[in-house]
Amino acid sequence: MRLKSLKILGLLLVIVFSVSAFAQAKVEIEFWHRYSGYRDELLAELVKNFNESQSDIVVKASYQGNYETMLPKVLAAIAGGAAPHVVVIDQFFVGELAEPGALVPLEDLISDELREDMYEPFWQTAAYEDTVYSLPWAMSNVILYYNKDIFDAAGMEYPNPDWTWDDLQNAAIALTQDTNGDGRTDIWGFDFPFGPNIGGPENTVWLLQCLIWQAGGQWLTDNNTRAGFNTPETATAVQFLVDLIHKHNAATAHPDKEGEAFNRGIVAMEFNSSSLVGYRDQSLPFRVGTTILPAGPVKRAANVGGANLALIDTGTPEEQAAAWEFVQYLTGTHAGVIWAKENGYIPTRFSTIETESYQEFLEANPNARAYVEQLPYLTFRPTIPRYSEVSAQAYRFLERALSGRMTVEEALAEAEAAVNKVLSGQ
Amino acid sequence: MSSHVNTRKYRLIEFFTPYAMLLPSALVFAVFVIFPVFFSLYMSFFNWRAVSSTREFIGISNYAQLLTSSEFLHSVKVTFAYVAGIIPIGMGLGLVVALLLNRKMRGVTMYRVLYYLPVVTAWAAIGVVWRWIYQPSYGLLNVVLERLGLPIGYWLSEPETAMPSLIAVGAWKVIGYNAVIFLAGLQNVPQELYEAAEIDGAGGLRKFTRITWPLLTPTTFFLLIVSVINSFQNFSGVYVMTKGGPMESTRVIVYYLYQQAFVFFNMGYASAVAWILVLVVFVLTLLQMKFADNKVHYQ
Repeated sequence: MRLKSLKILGLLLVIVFSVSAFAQAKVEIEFWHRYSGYRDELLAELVKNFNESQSDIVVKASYQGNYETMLPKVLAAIAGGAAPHVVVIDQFFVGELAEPGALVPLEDLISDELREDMYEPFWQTAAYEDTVYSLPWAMSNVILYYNKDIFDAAGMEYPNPDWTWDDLQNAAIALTQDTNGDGRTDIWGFDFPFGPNIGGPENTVWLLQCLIWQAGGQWLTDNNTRAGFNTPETATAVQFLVDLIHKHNAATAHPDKEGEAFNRGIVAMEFNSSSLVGYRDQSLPFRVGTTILPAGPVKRAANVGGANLALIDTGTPEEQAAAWEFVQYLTGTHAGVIWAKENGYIPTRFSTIETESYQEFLEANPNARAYVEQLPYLTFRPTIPRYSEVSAQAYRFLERALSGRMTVEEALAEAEAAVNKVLSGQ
Repeated sequence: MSSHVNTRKYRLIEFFTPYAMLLPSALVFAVFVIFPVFFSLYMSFFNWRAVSSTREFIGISNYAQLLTSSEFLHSVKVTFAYVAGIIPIGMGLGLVVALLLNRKMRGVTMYRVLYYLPVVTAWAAIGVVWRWIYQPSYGLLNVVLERLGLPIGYWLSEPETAMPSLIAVGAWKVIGYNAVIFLAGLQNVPQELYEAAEIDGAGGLRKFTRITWPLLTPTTFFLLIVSVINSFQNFSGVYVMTKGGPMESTRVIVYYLYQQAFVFFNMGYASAVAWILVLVVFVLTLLQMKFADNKVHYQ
């Protein structure tokens, strides 16, 4: 009896020690992202590469839904003490998470080399009140997509980088057609998302902001404490769209989900995220072209979209250090190039853009060039904590203007009042 | 060690065993239902943003704010519109179906299953399919209408037609449930009453208004209360089909609550909305019970 229990004890000790040694050797971190389908698989590959390339850190990645469903999950996890170590967040969530202290400030971790390796305005999307809280990673910006087949059938020249709003309007009007004589439009010259079918209010707002900035308007003012869009410049931008939809009938007044009608081949041109280039080049049954957004009355502008990588203030110092390692890998020249090439997000680091591999990719994929060409004109959304609510309140009235149920001036005035209510803390 | 049964110990075990059996699910219920309900009441008195560690006690400010909020009041109006639409249609058609199925005919079970299927199908699935049906350019409804030479509509895409379209789906989903309950009520009506009425020369309508309907009142009353309580809480259909739009024409109270809580993270305010909803439904139920007192015949 004695000897047997001694042997068992010995065996247990051996197991305990070897397990603990095993546990000490690998730091496990959790990575939440919002990419599904082929992007999910690609990310899994990159994570696997990272895990196999070293023996100290194991990363577990999981898909958590799209941008709207992800944030509540992250917040719930933080509140419940079960937050992931690394999370992919849209830039306008940086403020919402940084303000209550949920994120690890990255200022000290970012070397000067890294700082200079990224386009400075990108750091602005990653910062809240001048402190950097996330690493720009899967960035995109708004570009003009066009259906080459529709243009060819009409014998029209493709959109080019010299285009202005007038060119866009004329082409949209010319290309809108009723191809089978049944009195209903079959091909739309332009498509702009709004209404009950879109993914969320921001899908409308972020595109509208491009036009607003191009017309010389602005979104928020006074250091982001008040609405700044109730101006004649903004009215010009919104009116341009309203006229396109209701006066010239060149865009549908009942849009489907953003991008869907274009994918179905019934829209000649649309504004959309450059991140769709990879998918659209490979999977659509017609030829797609891209170019930079047309110039507005005052200047060129294009909104930056996409996601950053943030470290949540959770876990042990080893885990946080491991998270930083992983984040640097994902934005680094190796993973960054693969991520960019395979799915149309643009590499955020100059060192990645300049690699031979990526330059060859740009040569072979002309549709990806629009993004890079637009870099000097990029505009950014304010990273304030209540950005989503501001967006939703403004959208309520913009939707009415775009549906032709409210004049632009009225809509902007009401939106200003509603947004100011939110910004003043109600 | 003694081996005889200790009767006192045995009786204790016998006493506690049922409670022990109930403990796991009771615990889950307490943690996931009871606690959150009261915690949300607690939260409703605070200015509570989701992740913030600073929570300000503001008493009934949230309630005051929402009772004067035009957006909240609009969602109350929208919800009442939904309830006012779905109750008569859902219950009316449910009764019709029950009357039709209340006879010995072949396949009556199959019909009952078919009508009940929407009741047990998830809102998410129903919402996705109906959204396609209602789609203005390529949805089934408009394609069929066009083929028949009838005018097409914009259904979920225009504020005037969005709510009626939602009511149609909601009613379709609930008819089976109402029909099954009505059927049970109908089958409790004693046959002799009908036979006696026939002898006295009563026709179909007479039989219905003098016998069937009065004796159905307990069932009707039950369904009315349950329908009101349920339709006030409608959310999933709106979430999948219209997201409260277009232009907030379908933004029911619970959708407004969802936005405040899970899109804007105004947890305290959203909790207040939830409790106001509880109050509204409670008052409506009380009113119904008062009203029904002299109208419901139990004999």
